[in-house]
Amino acid sequence: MSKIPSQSSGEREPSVAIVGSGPAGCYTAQMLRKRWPSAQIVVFERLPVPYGLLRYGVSPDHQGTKAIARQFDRLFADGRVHFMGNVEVGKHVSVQQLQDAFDVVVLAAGLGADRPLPGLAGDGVYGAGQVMRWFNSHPDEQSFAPCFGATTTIIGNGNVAVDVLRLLSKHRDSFTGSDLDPRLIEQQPARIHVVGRSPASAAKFDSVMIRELADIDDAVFDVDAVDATGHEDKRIQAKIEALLDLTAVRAVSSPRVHVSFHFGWTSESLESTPDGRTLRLVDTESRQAVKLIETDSVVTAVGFGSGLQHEIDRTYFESDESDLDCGLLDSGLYCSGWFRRGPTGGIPANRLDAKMVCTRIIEDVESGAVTPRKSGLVALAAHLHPDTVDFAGWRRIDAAEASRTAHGRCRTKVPDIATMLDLARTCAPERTTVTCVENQTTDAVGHKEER
Amino acid sequence: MNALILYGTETGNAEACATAISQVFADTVDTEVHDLADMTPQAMLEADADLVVFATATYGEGEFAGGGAAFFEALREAKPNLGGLRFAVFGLGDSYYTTFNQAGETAATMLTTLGGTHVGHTARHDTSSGDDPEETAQEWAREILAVLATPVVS
Repeated sequence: MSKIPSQSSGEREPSVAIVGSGPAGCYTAQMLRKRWPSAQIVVFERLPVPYGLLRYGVSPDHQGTKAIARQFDRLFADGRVHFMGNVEVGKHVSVQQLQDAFDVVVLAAGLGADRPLPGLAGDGVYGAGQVMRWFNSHPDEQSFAPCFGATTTIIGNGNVAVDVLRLLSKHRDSFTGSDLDPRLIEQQPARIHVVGRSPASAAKFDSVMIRELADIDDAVFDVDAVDATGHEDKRIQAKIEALLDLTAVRAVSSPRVHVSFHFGWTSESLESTPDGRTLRLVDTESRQAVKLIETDSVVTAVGFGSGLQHEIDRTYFESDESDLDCGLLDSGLYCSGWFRRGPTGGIPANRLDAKMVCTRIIEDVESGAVTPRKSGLVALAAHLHPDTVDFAGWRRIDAAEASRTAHGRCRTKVPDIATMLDLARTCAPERTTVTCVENQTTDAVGHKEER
Repeated sequence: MNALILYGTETGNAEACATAISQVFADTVDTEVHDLADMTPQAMLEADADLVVFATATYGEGEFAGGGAAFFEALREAKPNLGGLRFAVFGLGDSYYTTFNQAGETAATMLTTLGGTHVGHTARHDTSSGDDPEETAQEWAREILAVLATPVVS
């Protein structure tokens, strides 16, 4: 709080456009709003619905984490920040047009694509980010139809890997209170392998993520090797203890699912066999020992790479003036979150990132490097298509979703853009522009009939 | 009367609650809101506030979120005499995890052990409950004001 200086009287406030309504964009809006109480701040979003990773990356059974969105709801609901959904910057409007209309433009559309693993591609290989978007009913993943089979192997040891593991291994009746579409877990594997390149002590998941798995009382867990007990680092020790507790022999009369952790193995290849597929692993250290896993499918959860379906690419905007360490791309143009520093770190890291970038933006306005004079939305209006979704529109979609609580769900998400737009626009039923996902049939609640 | 409102946060929820509490206090109390990341036990004592409010979230395996970790570690090491300090704790957590609101409890215990006087009850906001954290914080702040307004009967 004290880091963001208070405003001097009579100062003109800048107009601000933020691209992307995930945590990086919304935290940026929140912090700039605090500094400039009456500035026009507009958050542009490609989808008709806000919140990016909170809605589509955070696991559907982690509603407590998704609830961070309430902070941002408040920001938009007060009318202090404008939401402008269904506008894809780089396609519907250009960054240049935003810069022409707004004093400050912040690019925060940093969703990364799943990083591929060499030697692993083709049928039956899925990226964990895509799998999580699918579990979250993301409109882009409506035609994605992963077939995990009876045995699946998750490669990677981060929290996303554990999210996928949990969603695939938790009993399908134990998702009460979540917003997971029940049809997505109708077929869960009976055998799951989790492969990590590093030893257990270097695995990236948090111990609480492992503790959470212990609640699955009809599953059995085992592990090939756990290194370094009695570790000095408390976090590492907590992780090791959580793993040992989880994989200690437990009495399960007829386990529904069997999970095995393999630490210290690097995947080399995936070969089709008459019965399925064989994943070949080599010992990461010695490169000598080999382990073969029979599996129907593989989920790669080894982090993210460069942007996903980005119409805008950061390198394009870098200039002699760029100072990426504090988020400056060019005069009046900034970036925040994964778009700034690449696809690492979670929500808290993106909050700190936004804080740092906002400090720079405020400095630039105070020093006169950026002079507030552009009128914002008014100047952009001519370039906007008529089918944008404002916050009231999102509220209508939100209310419709929250009213559908079948199967003990806290909400039933609308998975397609056409239905979202229809709901958003209950006041004006005639659509002037049609933006919809092709080849989709929807039922009354906006679900695809078959996946 | 003046109050120091300190928050430890990872995701901003505790900061939002600290702000909400200060807004409720504002009519009757001079308030200052600070991130625990920018605060030391010594600076807290030097502020000589009539009340110190800790809005602290629980993170990981029951740890303090954000700047709370370093602040309470420093407090644990320095063990200052907190006789005369009146404090209140607004805890945030997620009942989904077994360590639900552990940081708030740890803070209250530590401050009491060092001689501080606990005002009101330690709030335990549950992010999985669907309750709005800022509304819960405002309600709690009004309760704290009521407790402060009640003369102590000895």
